[in-house]
Amino acid sequence: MKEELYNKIENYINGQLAGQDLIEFDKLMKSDVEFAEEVRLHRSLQESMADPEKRKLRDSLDLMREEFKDAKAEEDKVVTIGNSRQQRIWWMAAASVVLLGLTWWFMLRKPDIPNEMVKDPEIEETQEAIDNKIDEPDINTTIPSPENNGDIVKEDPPKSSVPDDEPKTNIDPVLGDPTPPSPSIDYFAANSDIASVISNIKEQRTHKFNLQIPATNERITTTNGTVALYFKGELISFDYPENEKFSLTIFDNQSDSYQNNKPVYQTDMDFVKVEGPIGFGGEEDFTFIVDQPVKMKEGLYYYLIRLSEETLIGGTFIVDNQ
Amino acid sequence: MSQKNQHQAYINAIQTGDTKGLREIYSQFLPKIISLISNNGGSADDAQDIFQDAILVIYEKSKKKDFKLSSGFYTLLYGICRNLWGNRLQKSSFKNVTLTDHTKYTSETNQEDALLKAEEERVFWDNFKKLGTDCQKLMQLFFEKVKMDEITKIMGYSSTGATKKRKFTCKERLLSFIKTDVRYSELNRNAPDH
Repeated sequence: MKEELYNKIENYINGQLAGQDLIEFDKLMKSDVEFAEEVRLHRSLQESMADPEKRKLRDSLDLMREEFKDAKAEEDKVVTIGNSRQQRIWWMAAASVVLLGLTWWFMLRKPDIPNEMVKDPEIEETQEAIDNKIDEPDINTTIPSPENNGDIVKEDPPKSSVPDDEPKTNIDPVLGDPTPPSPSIDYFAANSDIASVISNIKEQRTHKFNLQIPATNERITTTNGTVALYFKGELISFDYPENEKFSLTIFDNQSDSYQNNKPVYQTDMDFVKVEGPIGFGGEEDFTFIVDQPVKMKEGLYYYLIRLSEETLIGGTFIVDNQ
Repeated sequence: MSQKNQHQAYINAIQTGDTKGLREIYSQFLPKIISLISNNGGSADDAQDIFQDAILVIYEKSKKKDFKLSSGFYTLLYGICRNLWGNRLQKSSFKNVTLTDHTKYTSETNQEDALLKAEEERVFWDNFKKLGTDCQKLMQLFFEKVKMDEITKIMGYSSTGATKKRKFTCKERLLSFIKTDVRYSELNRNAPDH
């Protein structure tokens, strides 16, 4: 029976097979290629999915994919600037003269023009890249050949990698693309302040939450109008409050639910301290699970984890009918 | 922030799955990788796949004790993306794009294994996400080696027997999704040393 076979493979992977069973299993592995491949698949799957941190990273990457799904290839904004350093300096000098002239002209005509308009950030960046000798490879670099031992043939970088502070996307970081996944249910975010509350949450230094379940925009099934609500994660706290409670609050997608403080569900959260040494910064590690059936209809929901009035993390999930 | 610290911050963001840091990595480097892939016969979607896989390869590398960021972060990311895409081209029947050689970007001998692993894990993950929420939750707990009686309690099933039965059904479904995924058969065909 297949179920027994699966159990045997799992026992083998976990080192729980012994005696005659183990001998027979090893024998079969050697003689049957397909069986050996089946065992390898079970093992790879187990190893791949066992790491909760990797699952969190994958969830975050899926979220990023949604946010950046309209990202385009970097265009050559400085195409007029040549490859050699001399050419670039010449062009920058020429551009500076033009900019100075334009600045002077604009200042005469429109003295209230913002200062930012005067700068050409691309040129500044290029100069900084030259100064710092950034090790960024050129995208159009020649494919490495055996002669150069696999190293990228580095040419003068045409562009800099000086990081910007803000992401270059117009997609809402919380709600992603507002395209509804199903025409039958309205998944558009309501005109609610909660979306901006979630997107404006500042990175926490004192209490860091890693929410493993649910993932952002996870679809949860409702059966007869009841959802088996399940939140699971970890809290790293540098100053665990003795006299205050963390709370989990869930709002629906009605525009006035958040404004009028009418949550669908709210609970104080219980934490279990992970035994072990306290970190160098005095931080302590806790786990939490909220597991509760809640009456919920189909639609988009928002969750907030708060300490007193401060929102520490927030996100969305979707409730579907089975 | 100095460049070295910035590079380390990128690694930290990958290790912790920090969305703010990942967003920075995406906004800085994804357009460049899309350029790389589209200049070599791929689409923006392909580039997204490759970019994600590369980040997971960096995650795996960075977890190793001897990991040291010897080059710049982008150099590392670029090299992995390039090799991942090179691998994929070799497996496909693209005729209009050729890599001039099979030399790897870095001289690490275990790079090939890491790339294959990343590709296989993408297949696992994509198919895992096809499962229903309950199955995902159950399988996650199972993979994390949570005990059956605890899983029974968390999932609200009637008995450990019912949990085992349900676990088998979910795993069977997941394996069937994976085995019928064309990417999985391609990987197996090209990796006899698995």
